[in-house]
Amino acid sequence: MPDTHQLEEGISRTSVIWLLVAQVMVLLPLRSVLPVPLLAIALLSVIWRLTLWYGRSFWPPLWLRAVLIVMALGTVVISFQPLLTLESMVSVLAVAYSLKLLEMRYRRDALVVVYIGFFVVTTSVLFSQSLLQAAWLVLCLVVLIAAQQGLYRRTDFLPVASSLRYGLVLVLQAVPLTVVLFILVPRLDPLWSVPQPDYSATTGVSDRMAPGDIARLSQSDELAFRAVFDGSLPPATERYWRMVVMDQFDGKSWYQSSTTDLASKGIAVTEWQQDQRQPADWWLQQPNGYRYEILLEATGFPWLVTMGPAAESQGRFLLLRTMRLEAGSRLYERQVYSVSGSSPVFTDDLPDWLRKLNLQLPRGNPQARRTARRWMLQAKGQPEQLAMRIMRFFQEQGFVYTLSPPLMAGESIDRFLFSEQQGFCAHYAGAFVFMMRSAGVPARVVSGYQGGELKPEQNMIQVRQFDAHAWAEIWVRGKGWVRYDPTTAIAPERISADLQTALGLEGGFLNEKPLSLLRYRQVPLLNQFRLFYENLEYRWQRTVIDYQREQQQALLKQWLGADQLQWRQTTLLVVVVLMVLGGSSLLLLYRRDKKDELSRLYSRFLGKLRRSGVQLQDGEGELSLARRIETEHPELSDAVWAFIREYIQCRYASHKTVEARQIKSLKIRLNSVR
Amino acid sequence: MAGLQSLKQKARQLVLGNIAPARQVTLNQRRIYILPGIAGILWLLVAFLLFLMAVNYANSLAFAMSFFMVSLFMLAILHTWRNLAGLTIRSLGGDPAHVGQPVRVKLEIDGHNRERIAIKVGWPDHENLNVDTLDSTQIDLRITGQKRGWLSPGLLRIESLYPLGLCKTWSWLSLETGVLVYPAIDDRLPLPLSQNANGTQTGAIMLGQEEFAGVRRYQAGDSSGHVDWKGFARRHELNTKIFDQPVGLDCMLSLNDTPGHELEDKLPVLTAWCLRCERQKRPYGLSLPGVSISPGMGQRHLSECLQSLALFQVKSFQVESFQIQTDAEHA
Repeated sequence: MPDTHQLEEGISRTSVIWLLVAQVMVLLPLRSVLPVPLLAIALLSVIWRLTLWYGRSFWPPLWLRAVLIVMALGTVVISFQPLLTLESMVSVLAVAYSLKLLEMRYRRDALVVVYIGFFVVTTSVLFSQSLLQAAWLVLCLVVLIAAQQGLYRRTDFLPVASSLRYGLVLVLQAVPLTVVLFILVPRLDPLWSVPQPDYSATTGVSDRMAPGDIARLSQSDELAFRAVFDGSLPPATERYWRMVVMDQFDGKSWYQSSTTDLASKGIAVTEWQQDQRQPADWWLQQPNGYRYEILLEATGFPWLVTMGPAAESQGRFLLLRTMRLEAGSRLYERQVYSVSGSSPVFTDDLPDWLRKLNLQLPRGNPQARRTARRWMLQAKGQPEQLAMRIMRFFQEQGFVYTLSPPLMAGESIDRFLFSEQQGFCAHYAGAFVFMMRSAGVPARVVSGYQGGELKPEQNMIQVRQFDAHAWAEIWVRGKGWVRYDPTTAIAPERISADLQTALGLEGGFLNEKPLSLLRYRQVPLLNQFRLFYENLEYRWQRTVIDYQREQQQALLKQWLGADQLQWRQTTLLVVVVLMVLGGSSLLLLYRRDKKDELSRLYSRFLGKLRRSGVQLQDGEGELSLARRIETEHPELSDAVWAFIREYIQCRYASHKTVEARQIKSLKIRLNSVR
Repeated sequence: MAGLQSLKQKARQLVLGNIAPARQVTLNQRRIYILPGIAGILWLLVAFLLFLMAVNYANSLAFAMSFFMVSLFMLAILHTWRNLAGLTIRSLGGDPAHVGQPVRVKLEIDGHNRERIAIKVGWPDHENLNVDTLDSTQIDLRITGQKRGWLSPGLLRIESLYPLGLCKTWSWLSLETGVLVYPAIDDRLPLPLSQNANGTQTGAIMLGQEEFAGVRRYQAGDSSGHVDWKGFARRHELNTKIFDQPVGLDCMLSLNDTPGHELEDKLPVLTAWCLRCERQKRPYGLSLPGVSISPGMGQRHLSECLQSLALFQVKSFQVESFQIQTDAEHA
């Protein structure tokens, strides 16, 4: 079919649809990042372009576009405080991407749209690098490439299946080179500091705990961290993952003392935090036999998780006197660190300033104070006796473990202990510490995670946000900080099993996530699928996402040896890239033409005849040649006829393309010609 | 402007060497050129920006994305180049036409069983077509011949941006069109009449002997003097009055009868005369220096005369092979 269309720089109608589909797909992962008005503007642009496509509308005039741009920018300015965040920049980009649709008339504009699409789809991986996100990214790439190649096709003809296939084929063909570059191109350290994703909206353990905070986390099935053990796994009752230690109470919430606060009270910074270079001499250490690696998801906070108290600083992190680890800055990327466990052994009593810090209490809650002091007298001043008394109180009074306790304003501890008597772990831990402190026992609230899902095949414990927990530690002279978990008194299943079991029929577990596979752990097939997927996700994160500068160096050292690594790396990169390019060009460009193959065979045949003394005469066809040989060289006749007949069959008789099978049999015939 | 064009053409010739034009050309590595276009450079720029983003956020997927775009760019070079590689262009000729009239050149594009998409074919400054093909596809390219003789609009350009528009690949072909361009038609002068054997008749008598035979639809090249203007005013149809010519009055057309000094001014006049004689069914012959065609009539005779006029004193190559070709077509 000859094409009578003039090559034009317009965009075909089918191309427009491709671009719209690509746009919706690219913006979908950003829906939680963009402010709602911007989503509305994006939707409006798509719909407007669709009505244009149907011929029911007009191109928006300049003033209207200007109004939309001003509205979009205004929304950005209002929605983002401070203005210059990653989210605001992505929003501006995304809205520009949408509005460009309204002035997309020529191929040039469409190309700009596609390029912004490539950029925007990459910004979405800054917010999540999960396997699902990566799969979506690939899907977006296929559609974007299909849309882009559609721009260069004949304008009136753009089949969906073949375009998609073409996009997929291009993506797949680009994979080998991408992998080579990914592994071998040297990773650089960040060149300048950039605004990091905002983690304030994500759930996670915070350093300020109001009673309802941890209950909120029970609604999230997001991954908090994984711990891969080298050697034995801890029993369930030992799986207390410490993250923050809250030693200050303001009557409503518990929070951590900050180093600057302490410094202003005249306490040396080294008394509070120390690093590897100045090992802490606050306590003695003894190894506890657990060695593990933590893969902590980004939190936006500097603190790190350890199992049980941290006795010494690990790697580049700071050790705090509250027996926890902290990074020097907020964590916006996944952290991987090893902990060789050791437990602190306390010989000295607490220094006075620390004792004072852990006895701090605001006014209020008189009933709780009175009760605590009375029980302390009964316990003859033994902190552990008092702790047991409080635990017994929780048990005997029929306290309820629930995700949705009533609101307890005012004298919150008193109301919780003596009238409402229902709450979540944060309520129990807070009340427990309050009473201990009232009785003069140094105590503090510890928050982190408890339990986690065991993955025996990887010797790993996987902890999710709904495993968040709070418990208490009290100071016992001669023993040091002793952990008490009041929740065990009310809901022992929480510790021995998990939250879902502990809550039982009362429910509330992942109520807001009806589709979460974790709700259906009892369904074997679904659970198997979930475990398989989690395993895959873990491997993806470990191998691909965590492949950074350090991992690259380690891998390349293993491959290439340590000396002259950079030089070897560069050489390897160049050689492998050239090899892949050479290979793909051969695959793409080398195509044996079956008709040419026939001609080659025929000339080989003539060559053989020439060696036997037969010359092809001018204008002699295959048949006349065979007839002449029959008379002149009868000894060749049979083999020649056999070849010629088959050759003629292939060359002229069949309208279909010559198959490999025919070529093969023709070769056999040729070999029998001497 | 024209000077610039010819300069460009010369530069191309210089680069490409003086390739002898042929009726069929297959594109091989040496003939295909490829360079990244602006779109390709922008593409690499986007990939670089993504790389910076990946470095600053230490984000593996962003790294992968940036590397993916670079890989795709390299792949696009291969794909675009492959779109032209091994393509065969064949000229199938076309019907002759006069200078200033559009000619259709039929080309056959053979992809040799590989899918070729969006290949732009055409002579610069003339019609360009966008072709998809798997096997062979025929297209007609419209060209207006500017010079009599074998139509040679310069080098044929074949280019492709497909699939991603990142690179432009192109090739210049020296292709023989095999299309003859007759001289223009200059129909302002009456037929010369001194060609009669006795030489006594005058123009006036000649004109008087024309007998009105009817009208037919106006055709390009008809004398404006014979247009039925009255009929046009009445019916808005442009018709030409036909006059029967007495048989036996052979007309021998010669360069000597045409006014003017320049050959290129004289040939259009002769061309018009040939056409008029043919129209008026008056046998005519042609006598040019070195060429002599005895009087006759009919489409074939006309073609022969017009071809002689078209090729008269034209520096040309392999004219004979074309003559065989065109004769075969007319036969």
